[in-house]
Amino acid sequence: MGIAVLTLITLGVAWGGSILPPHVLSFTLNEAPSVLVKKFSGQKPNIVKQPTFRMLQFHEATAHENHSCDGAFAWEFYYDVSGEMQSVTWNGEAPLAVSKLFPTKDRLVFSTETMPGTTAMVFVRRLPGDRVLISNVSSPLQTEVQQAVMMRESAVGRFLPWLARELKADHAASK
Amino acid sequence: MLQRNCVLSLAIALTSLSAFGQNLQILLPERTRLLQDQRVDLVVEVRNAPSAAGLRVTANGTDISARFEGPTQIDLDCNGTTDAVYRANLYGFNTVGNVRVIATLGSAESIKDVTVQPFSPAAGARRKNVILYIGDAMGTAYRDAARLVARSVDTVPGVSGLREGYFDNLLEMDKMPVSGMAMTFASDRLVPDSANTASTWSTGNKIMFNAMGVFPDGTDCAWRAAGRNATTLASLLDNPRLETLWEYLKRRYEYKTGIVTTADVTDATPAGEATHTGHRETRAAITLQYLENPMLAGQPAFDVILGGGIEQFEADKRADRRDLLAEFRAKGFTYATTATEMNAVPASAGRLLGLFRRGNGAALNSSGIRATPDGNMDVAYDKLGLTRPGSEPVVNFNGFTDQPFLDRMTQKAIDILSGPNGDQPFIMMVEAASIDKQSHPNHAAGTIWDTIELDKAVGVGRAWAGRRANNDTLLLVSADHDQSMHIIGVVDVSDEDLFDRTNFQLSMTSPGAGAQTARIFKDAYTNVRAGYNYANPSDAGNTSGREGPPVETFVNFTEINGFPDYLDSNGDGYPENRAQGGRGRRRLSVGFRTGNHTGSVVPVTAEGPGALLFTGYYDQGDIMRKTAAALSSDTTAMDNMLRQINENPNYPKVVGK
Repeated sequence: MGIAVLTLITLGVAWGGSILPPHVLSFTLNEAPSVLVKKFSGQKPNIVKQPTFRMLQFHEATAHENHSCDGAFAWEFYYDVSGEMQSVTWNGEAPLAVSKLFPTKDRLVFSTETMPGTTAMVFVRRLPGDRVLISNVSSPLQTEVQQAVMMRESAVGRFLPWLARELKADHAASK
Repeated sequence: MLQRNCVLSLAIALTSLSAFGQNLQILLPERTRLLQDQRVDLVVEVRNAPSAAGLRVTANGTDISARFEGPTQIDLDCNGTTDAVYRANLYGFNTVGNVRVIATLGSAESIKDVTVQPFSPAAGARRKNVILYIGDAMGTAYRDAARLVARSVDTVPGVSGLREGYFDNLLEMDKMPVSGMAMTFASDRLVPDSANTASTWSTGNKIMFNAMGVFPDGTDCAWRAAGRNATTLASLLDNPRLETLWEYLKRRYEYKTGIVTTADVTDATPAGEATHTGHRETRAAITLQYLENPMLAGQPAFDVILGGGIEQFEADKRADRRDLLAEFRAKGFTYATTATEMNAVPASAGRLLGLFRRGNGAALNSSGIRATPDGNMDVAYDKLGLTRPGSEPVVNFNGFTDQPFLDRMTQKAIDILSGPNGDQPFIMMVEAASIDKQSHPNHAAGTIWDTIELDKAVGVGRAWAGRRANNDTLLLVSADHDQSMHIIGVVDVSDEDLFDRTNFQLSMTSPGAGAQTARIFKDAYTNVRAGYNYANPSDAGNTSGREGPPVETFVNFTEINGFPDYLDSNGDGYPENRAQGGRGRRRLSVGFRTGNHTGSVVPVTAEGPGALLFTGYYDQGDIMRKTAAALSSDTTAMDNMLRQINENPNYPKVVGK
């Protein structure tokens, strides 16, 4: 049996490929859910509902060959009980260069013992509009990251109290 | 319109949350069901109380307050308030029946009812074994597809094994005498994942999406908002834990325990048997819990661990720099990295760690909580050296060319867990992981042949159990959840077309979607993918963001009469998916609606002591409780009744069993 095609076959047309996902730095943390849906080309988000927060979760806008479908969402937007977005977390399939996210002149480095015997280190970058960008790293020399969190700087104390103290001290020292 | 309503209701719901004010909460779900002495962390959260001192907790009137530590000051819900938590870790209810737990603090009160199922095997009673087989995503259609491919081969040369609508020889899992259906919902979501489902069948309780062996708590907001990483790890691991059946049997009755999988061994399905974390991504912590299990006083959770995922054990790919390969060996584990090495391990080894794959380019993820990518084993279709259809990717073994098949892994695990004399009681889980992993990107061949691989492993277990002098081994076959593959029909496709890797582009214009371009391969008739502007608007080729018409609009699909005629030239149980002498062209056509999980019920088949318990429709958590009942009670009467049903010549026989 041969293949009978009903629609027009176009030869030699370069296939458009996957839709590029937005960049983490493109978010202002003021996006309403409807704006996010548009930014992800109409992808319907997974919504996590808890009494004190809501999350909208999106996959990267690529074919399933290129992302894990087992519950890991590339993009997670956290809204608290006020309805205001507090953070966006990007979990990347492909890493991003640290130099593009945390230019040396803008980069702060902090570390803390999070559990007995476990030390966590983060790169932090202040951004306009009450925002900070945060990535966990294993070394100050890290060159790529696969996760970045953009959070309201005014909210850091609620989710990462130790980092809020470090940022406050840094702010005081820089005056 | 749907999208707009969705986001509006989100805004409304958030506004109403400002009235939330419960100040005392026992962190147990509404329908908590436990076995007698099944350990659970009893956690009481105190919010908005001026003083958190003076908590009183009773269980059916008995004061158990002294078991609680606290109050520990903490910020619950990440809202800047000072709250408190009390914990009674690893608490077991010995009273059978309904237990009412009441927590009071001042005028605040929280009440939770717990149902406790007895587990008291008769003294001296022979311990029974359990082998739970999980085809990841293996819903009904996946079993059907494996049957149609594997059992349409000739049973007599020149005589098809599927004639006039009957099979000569059904699958091993089809031959099990009892079947039922299980509902797989998470506690917070209709469509589940492998983590909450594995935790549900191992703990007997509904678990939230992505979580493993824990209930939600008030610090989850930290890792929800700030990502899952080394910085938030403490909030991922502080959730109330619930003991699994594997841990319970090892702790109370010295069962040997095992996990056998073709996935990374720290992936959700194997991990669900003995780990406790708010999210399945905490692979480094999961690996550590395999070595130092918190329910087992820091002893290893398993005696046999077989699968992929070397990277999670390697010091240079762990943030804590621990060499877990060395530490497992120090605890008496024999370590194997190839099928050859595994086959040489004697039954007397006692403990075996077999890791047969590392992810290509594996490294410590910058999150600090895992290595990526996953070191899943390669799929059966590729291990067999078969040629992939044109739309499915060609494998890169990356040097791992001696990986065992699931049936050999299963046999080895049984040999070691049952001990040199075969009298050591054990419980093990065997998973064919890539039924799911191949189904996500709609790779039909990879999916179907992995299901056949699982069935061969079922055959190993059935054969071993059948040789036992006593009916002492319960075999179960099920799935964690379903995916969307369905049986479309039969098509005639030449090898030339099936394996042609030259794609051609199709353009179409549809109302609303506009001009779209899709890439089609000639294997499209055997594999009707979701990804042609169908259910996933974000998939490649659809630039409109809208759903388009299904692939049948692009490709004129014509089904033919008759049945598949796959060939198994070397008789190894795996058809070669090749035509020869004019035969082998009639191939199964399957279709996919999406690349995601679904919320459909999944089949459960059972054989052995207590198998009759598994008939009917029930919740996935009932698998654990039914298994516990089978292990702890005398099932002779029901086993005899089942035997009479199957062996009575007056009752109809199933063709092919």
